[in-house]
Amino acid sequence: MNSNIDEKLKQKFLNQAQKLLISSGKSIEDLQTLFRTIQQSDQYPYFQHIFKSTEVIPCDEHKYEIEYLKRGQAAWEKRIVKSLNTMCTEVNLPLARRRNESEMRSVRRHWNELGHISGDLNRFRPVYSAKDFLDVICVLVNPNLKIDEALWNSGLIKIPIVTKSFVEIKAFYSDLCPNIIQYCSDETFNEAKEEENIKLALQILEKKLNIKSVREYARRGCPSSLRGKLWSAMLNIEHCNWHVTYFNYLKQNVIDFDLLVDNLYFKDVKLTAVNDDQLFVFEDYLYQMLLLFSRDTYVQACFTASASGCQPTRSFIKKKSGVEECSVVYPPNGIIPFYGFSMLVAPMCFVFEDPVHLYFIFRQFYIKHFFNLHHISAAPNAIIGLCVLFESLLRQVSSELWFHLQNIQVQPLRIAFKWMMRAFSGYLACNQLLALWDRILAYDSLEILAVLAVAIFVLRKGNVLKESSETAIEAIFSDISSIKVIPLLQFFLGS
Amino acid sequence: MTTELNFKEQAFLQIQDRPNAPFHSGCKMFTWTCNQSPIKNFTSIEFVNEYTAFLSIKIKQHSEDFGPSKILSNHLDEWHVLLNRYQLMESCHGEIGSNRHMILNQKQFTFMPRAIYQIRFFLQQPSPIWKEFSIVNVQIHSQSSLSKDRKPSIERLLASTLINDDQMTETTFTKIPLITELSQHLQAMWTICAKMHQSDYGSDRIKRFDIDGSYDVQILSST
Repeated sequence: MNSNIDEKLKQKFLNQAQKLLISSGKSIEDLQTLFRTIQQSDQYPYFQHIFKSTEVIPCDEHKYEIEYLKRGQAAWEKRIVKSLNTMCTEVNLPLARRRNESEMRSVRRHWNELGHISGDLNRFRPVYSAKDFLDVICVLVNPNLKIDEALWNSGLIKIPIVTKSFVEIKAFYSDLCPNIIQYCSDETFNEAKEEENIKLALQILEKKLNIKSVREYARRGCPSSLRGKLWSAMLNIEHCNWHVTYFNYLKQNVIDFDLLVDNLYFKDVKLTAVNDDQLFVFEDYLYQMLLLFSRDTYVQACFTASASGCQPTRSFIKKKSGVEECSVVYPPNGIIPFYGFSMLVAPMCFVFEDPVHLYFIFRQFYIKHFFNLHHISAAPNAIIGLCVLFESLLRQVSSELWFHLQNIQVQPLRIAFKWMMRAFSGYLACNQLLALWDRILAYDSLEILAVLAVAIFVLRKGNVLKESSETAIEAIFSDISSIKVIPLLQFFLGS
Repeated sequence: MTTELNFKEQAFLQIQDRPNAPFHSGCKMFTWTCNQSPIKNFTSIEFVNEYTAFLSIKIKQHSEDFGPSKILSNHLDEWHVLLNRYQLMESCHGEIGSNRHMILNQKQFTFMPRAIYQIRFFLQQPSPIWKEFSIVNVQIHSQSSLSKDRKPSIERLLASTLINDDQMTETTFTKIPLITELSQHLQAMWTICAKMHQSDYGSDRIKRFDIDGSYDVQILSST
C-alpha cells in the first residue's frame, strides 16, 4: 500500500524535477549539480516535507463499505444473472454472437432506423422492475441491530442510515427558497430579465470558469437555449474529435456483434418511450444510444468507483469456460437494463441534437448519478439513502399524513420508489423534468428526488387524508404529470 | 514489521454500583502487553471497525517490572494518551463508517511514542441500537530498525533512479545501429508523436471486450 503512494509521489516529483531542470536552462553534468539545482528551487521544502510524511492514505475510502449491503448486492446480482440465463435458454438464443456478413450490412443500412433489426420481441420480458428491486431492498436487515425495528422505524427500509434533516435540506437547497427568482420557471418572468440571465450564462460559459461557477448559476435553473452547454460544462464534457472516433468505434461494435440485451433495450423502448406522447419521436435515436451504451466498456468504471466493491457480471467465451483469460464482462458495459431504463436517456434527446454529444452526456450523467439509482450501497446519494431520506422527511414534515398512511397500512415509499428509481422520467412533463435534472447537476446530488417525492405527497395531502384504501391512494398519485416542479419545491422548502 | 493483536475478551466496562444493570455502559476496554521486546519505531495501527463509534488509545512507554527504578520514577509508569475519542462512525446511530477499514498514523496520534510496552484500547458506542461493537484484525505496524535510516529522501530517490537509468543505458545500447538508420527511426517516431499530440485523444481508454475478435457468450457465470 505504501509503495503505491510512494510510486505516485515519486512520479510527480520526477516530473517536477524535469520541468525545473529544463526551465533552469543550465546544463547538468553530474549528480551533485543536480542536487544543488533542486535544492535551490522553491519546491524543495514542499517535497522534502511530503516525503517525510508519506504513507498517508485517505481514511474516507472505505466509509461506505458495509458488509451485509455488499452481500445483499451480490445476492441481487446473482438473481439477475439467473433470470437472464433462464431467459436465454427459454428463447434459445446465445447471449452474444458475431453477426454474419448480411446481418452486418443490414445493421449498417438501418442505422437510423434500428427498430428494423429488432426481430420478435414477444418472447422477451424486462429482467426486473422497480417493484422487484424495492422488494430486495426492503428485506435487507442489519444483523447487528438490537432493537426491534418496528418500534423505532415504521417505514419500509430497515437500514439505519442517518440522512439530512429537513432543516439541513432547507439549508442545502437554500437557492430554491421562494424569495429567490428561478430562471426560466414557467411564470414570473419578464423578457428583459430573461435576456439578462442568458447573457450572464453566456459570460460564464465563455470565460470557461470552473465547474463550481457554472453549478452556482445552474442552481437557479438553465435557460433551455443554453441547457446543453451548461450541462456539458457541469459534467465536464468537452466535445472533441476523439468523441467522434470513439462513437464510431462503438457503432462498429454494434454492427459486429449481436447481444441478447439488445432485445431487452428494444423491448424497453417499446414499452416505455414509445408509449409516451412526448418521447415517441425519439424511438430510433434511443435504440442507437442504448445499443452503443451496452457496448461501452468505459461504463464499467461505475463498479470500480462504487464503494460496494461488486463486480460486473462475467462470462466465458464459448468452449473455454473456467479459463480466466477467456473471461469477459457481459454485457460489455456491465449493466443489465431494468424496466424503464431507456427513460433515463429519453428526455436528454430534447436537449442534444447531435447523437455523439448526446451519447457522451448521457454516459457521464449515468456514471455519475443514475448508476446509484439501481445499486445497493450506503452512500447518501444511492437509492437506499434516498429512500431513507424520503421516509424521514415525510415523517418530519407531515406526521399527520405519515400516521394516516401507517394506520391504513399504505407504505408511501411503495408509491414514490418508482419515481425515484427513474429520476422521475416518464412521470413528469419533459420541461419540468429537465428543470429538475438541472438541479441534480447543479447541486451534484440526487437528494432532490426524495425532496420532490415528499413535496408531491404534501401537495396532495388533503386528498390522501380523505381516503382509506390502498387503491384510492395509488390513484391519487397515479398521474403527477401536471405538477410544476420548481414552484412546488419552492413552496415545500419555504414551508 | 507487523504485530498482530488478538483480543479474545472484550468485556464491557460496568457501571460501578450496578453490576447487574439491564443496560450496558457502551464502553469497552482491552489491554495488550508485549511479552518479549517492546514495539519500537512504531508507525501506524490498522484495524477493521465493527460498529464502534469512538476510539481512544493509551500506551505505556516503559515496562512494569522496571526493577528498583520503578519506585524512583513512578511517573514513567503512567499511561499516555495516544488517541483521544477519535470518531470512527459519522453518526453513532447510522451505518456509515461502521465497517470501515482504518489505518491510523502520525496524523491522528497526539504523539509518536519511542516504544510501546502496553497498549490499551477504549471503545465507545453510545447508541443502544447495535447488538455488538468491536474492532477486529488489529495490527500495529512498526519500522524495523534497519529501514529506519532508509527514510525516503530526495537524494536517495534520485540516486536510485539515476543508477537504474544507468544500468538501463548500459544494457540497451550495446549494439548501436547505423546512424542513418537510427535517425530514420527517430524521425518516424517523432512524426507519430506529433500526430498523436494533434489528435486529442482525451482520457478515455479503449478497453476491448472481445477476445481475438470473438465475443460468443452462451451463459453467464454467477460467481
